[in-house]
Amino acid sequence: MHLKKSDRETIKKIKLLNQITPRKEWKDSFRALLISEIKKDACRKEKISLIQYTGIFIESFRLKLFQPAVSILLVMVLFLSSSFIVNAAFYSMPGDNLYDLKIALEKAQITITFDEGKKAELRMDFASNRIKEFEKIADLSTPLEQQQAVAVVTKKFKEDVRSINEHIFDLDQKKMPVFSLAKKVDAKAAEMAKNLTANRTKLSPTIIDQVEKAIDEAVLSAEDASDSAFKIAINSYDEEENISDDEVSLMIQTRIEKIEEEIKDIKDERADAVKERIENAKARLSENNLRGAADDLDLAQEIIDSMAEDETTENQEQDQVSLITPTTTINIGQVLGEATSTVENAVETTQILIEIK
Amino acid sequence: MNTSSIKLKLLLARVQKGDPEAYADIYELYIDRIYRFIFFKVSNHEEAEDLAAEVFLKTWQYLIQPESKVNNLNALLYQTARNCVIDFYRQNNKRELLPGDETLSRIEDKRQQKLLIEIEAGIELEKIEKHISKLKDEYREILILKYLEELSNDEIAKVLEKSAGAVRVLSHRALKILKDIINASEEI
Repeated sequence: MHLKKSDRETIKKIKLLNQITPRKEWKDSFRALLISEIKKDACRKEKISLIQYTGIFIESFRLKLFQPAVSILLVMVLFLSSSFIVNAAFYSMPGDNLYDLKIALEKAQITITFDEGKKAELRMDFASNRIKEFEKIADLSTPLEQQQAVAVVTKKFKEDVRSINEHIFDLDQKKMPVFSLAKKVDAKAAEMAKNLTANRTKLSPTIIDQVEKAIDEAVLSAEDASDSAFKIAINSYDEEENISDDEVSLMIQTRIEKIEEEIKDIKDERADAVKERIENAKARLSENNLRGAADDLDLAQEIIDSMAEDETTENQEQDQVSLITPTTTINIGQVLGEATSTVENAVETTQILIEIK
Repeated sequence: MNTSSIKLKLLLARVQKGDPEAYADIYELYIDRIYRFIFFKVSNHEEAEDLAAEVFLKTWQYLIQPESKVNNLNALLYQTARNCVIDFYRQNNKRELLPGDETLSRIEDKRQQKLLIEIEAGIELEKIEKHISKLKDEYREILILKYLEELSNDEIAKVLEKSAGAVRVLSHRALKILKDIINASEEI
């Protein structure tokens, strides 16, 4: 077909769109996934049928778990072309169709993990997933979507962190070796608190007021988890063998730096008390009195916590004061006016009575 | 498409016998094109990736059926892509392509971005994308298939479930409208 020059020019412009291509990383990773998926089909055709395989799978897990719901979930994953759906769920965000499946799969993984240490690590991984989701919230297109996603992610994050706390506490109560795990939780939870704080600034400014409280609570839960894990780690140091002084020193040093960073710009006499405790901790650390240094850090943290609590109380009181409206003031004035008038009446009545007498 | 039809036919024959490596070759040949085709419909790179992935998985499932008879892989892949996008719209109650997103941010390779910023083609790319997004889906689809992906009229007819004659008329009409849009923007 003979084309006009103007048509040829238009077609040339259309061909510029060839430059739009998928991301190389995605292309490569999906290729690998695709091949692994299609190879399963090729294998399944020759060996046992999918149904037979699934039956054996369900039976072995049911005996161990006595939880048919989990088995059903895992079977669902298998029948839904497993890896593709699982991978798609992994990248899903609150509000996506696959997000509930993502959470359900995380729970299923915990259920079928028997080693307590690995269970706790899995919980840490899932809390980290919440942080990754939080980082991506800023990419959501509308402030409403961002707000809703923040609510879901921070709520799940607090649940995950609470589970980690309870888990380590249980292990500690049962006198199981917990130092290594507590050390990881201390570091990881502190890092997650920092990430939450850093990423909140990327959210749409129009929603900051609505989501601030939820984010603050999530940050606090991570910091509390870190503090609890630190205490448990130090207690374990006293009780467990084969824990090196260097490891504990490093934990204490990291904590010292964290607290110094926290109070550096605070002008308050209690901040001076914290600094004093920090100096004590440093001195004891240099003497290799690790228990002593940790005790000083505990006290420093208590002072910081009380400062934070007082600040919260102050903010709440200010909020209450601002709720007193002009109407209330007028009512007080009215009441005073009425009271004055009543007193004046009483005086007049008394005078009359005296005259009558 | 420049890949010889014999090569494609051989690959197709191997795939129908369940050869994963042959399918991987098909993936390499088609992934960019299918992604692009979908991308111009959904205007979101993550959604385009997900849907493109779905296309290749579904196509494989179809090809390995003993009863499947496929003469034209091109048409099959684009048809599957089109159906996946239609299902996607139905499930998500979404409108079709929305204009306006930054083109250059979708080109993920930073080196490419820098190069495109430096040369005029980058600006031209952004312009043409905006212009093409103003077309209705039917016209946009036909221009992409015909001039970008270089499908034949017969292949396009199969994909769009129209006659070859209708494809010829539509493509001519779509090209004219796009030209008018471009000219109108250049006059401003």
